Amino acid sequence: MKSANTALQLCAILAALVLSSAATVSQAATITIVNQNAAGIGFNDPTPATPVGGNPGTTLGQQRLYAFQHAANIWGATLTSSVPIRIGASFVPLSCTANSAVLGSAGANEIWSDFTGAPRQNTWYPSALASKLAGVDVATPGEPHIIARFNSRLGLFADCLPGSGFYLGTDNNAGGQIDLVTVLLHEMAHGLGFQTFTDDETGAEILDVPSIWDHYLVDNRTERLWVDMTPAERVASAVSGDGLSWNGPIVTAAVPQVLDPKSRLTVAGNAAGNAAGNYDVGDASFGPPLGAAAVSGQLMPVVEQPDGTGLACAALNEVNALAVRGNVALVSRGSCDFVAKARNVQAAGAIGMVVADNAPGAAAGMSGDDPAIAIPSVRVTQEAGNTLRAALQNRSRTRSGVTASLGIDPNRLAGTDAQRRILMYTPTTNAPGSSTSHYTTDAKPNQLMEPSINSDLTHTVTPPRDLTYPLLQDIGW
Amino acid sequence: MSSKKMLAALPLAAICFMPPHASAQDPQGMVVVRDAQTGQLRAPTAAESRALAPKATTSMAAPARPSMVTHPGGARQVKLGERGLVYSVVTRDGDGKLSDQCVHGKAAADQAVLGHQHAQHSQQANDDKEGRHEVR
Repeated sequence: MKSANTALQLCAILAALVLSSAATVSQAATITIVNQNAAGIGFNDPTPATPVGGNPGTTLGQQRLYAFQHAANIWGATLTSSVPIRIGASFVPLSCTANSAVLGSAGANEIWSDFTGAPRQNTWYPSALASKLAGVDVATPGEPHIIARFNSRLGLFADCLPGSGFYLGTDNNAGGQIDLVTVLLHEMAHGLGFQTFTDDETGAEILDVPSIWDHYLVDNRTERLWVDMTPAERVASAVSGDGLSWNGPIVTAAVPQVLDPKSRLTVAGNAAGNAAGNYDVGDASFGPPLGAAAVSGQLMPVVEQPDGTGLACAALNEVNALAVRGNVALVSRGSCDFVAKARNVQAAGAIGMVVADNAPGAAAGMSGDDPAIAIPSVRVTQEAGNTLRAALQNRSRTRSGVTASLGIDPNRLAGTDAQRRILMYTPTTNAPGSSTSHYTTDAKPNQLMEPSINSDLTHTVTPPRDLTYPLLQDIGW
Repeated sequence: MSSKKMLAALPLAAICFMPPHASAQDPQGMVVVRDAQTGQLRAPTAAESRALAPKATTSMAAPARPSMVTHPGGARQVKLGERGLVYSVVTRDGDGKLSDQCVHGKAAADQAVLGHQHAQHSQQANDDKEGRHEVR
């Protein structure tokens, strides 16, 4: 224990030195990475490494530590607290297979309520935030505020996602690798308080005490807060599709400057019949974003499958090429990447692409990257696809009488409710471990705290790009 | 000020080194066993010591149920440890494309990892459940 205490004292001294050297310290927080790895492993792994992407480390351990420090620096420069934040961190073996792996995990180590200076009584706060609000370190001596564990074997062994390790550079240039700094920023945010301590799957509060998070999570259909709901009501709202919003004033004020207008598909024309109207769509990460000037044209299906649908996974034949030339192509999801479909219909002369889903579910986004794609694309639900195909039955080789406009709804922001509050992640299917402690996947641009990390994220946690820090401000940071 | 400039001006993260589990309470103590043959108390053998040792000895071990500590002045504290962790899990499909998801709890994370191979044949359905931005 003596060595641990000595190490903590050294930490405190180092933190104080860092604090005293920063002229604008009152506008920032100190985040201390407490290396919990033993000699020779994890952060102390001596395996030689070549400096990469701004990371000057010359061993694997040094590079891991530098990436951790870089992410901590970003949060440290953003947050304010007079109490240094300790992250107990380590690289350790975590669950793996050849094609899947736990990247890492993080969370608050302790939660506190009714401490001196607590803004709300009878409410759990993560210990890092409780310490900031109390003005003193409330955490148990020797305990970190945040725990962070990352996978030491990722990409390095045949049974642990070989070939897909962490990108340890700090320049956000991960390419096809897993950008450790982005994952760290996301996981550290959970540890700082971007999480409820109430159980998503049972609705049970810890010892019948709500989390500070629960005071801002609102059912946008009833305007009731999680803190006022029964456990059963919380469970139902957590799988409501888009029924939960964040009600915090700082996030809501920042939403208009961060989120783009919601994309939509508008269908009209003499032959549209029951198919006429506006459709919810999933956006594509490739091709130009939809804008105020809609891209409009005749909606024409690609047909090359026995059931009358078309996948567009190969160059279009002459008939299909004639159909989509100068028009908006309707294709089905499946068998190949979305970008491959876009490439093929674009090569045939299409001015836009609508992808109809091949399975039930909400209109989700489409990932992929190809700078050569110059036409906009959207994805609609399977049900919408069936409706559109039905309206296209009577058509000529080049015209359908059904027009499709790929544009935006000027009155709605992507990923928000009718009151322009950002939606939270509440999938209708109860996936194990699914957590409302994330933003919706419908946000545009993609947000750091969505449940999956998208390739277009930057190392930014503040507006006008990101809404992570505003949420932390809402809960007291 | 750009974020990079801000970082240059405020190098506010410090790195400290601690032995693994340095904050754990010493799990050792006075341990005696009753000898089955003599009935006398004696020091345990090495094998007996290993058998008697707690399975989890780190400060991070998750308690079976949350226990609350009330401090003088009324502050209340619960140690979450591992049970408070949120996990990031990555999977690779047949075409080598990576996708990830963030789930709460070790059990859900392990299920996402170990269940992936069984789910690969129905990858699209899984993608829909998790609300990802799919590539295909």
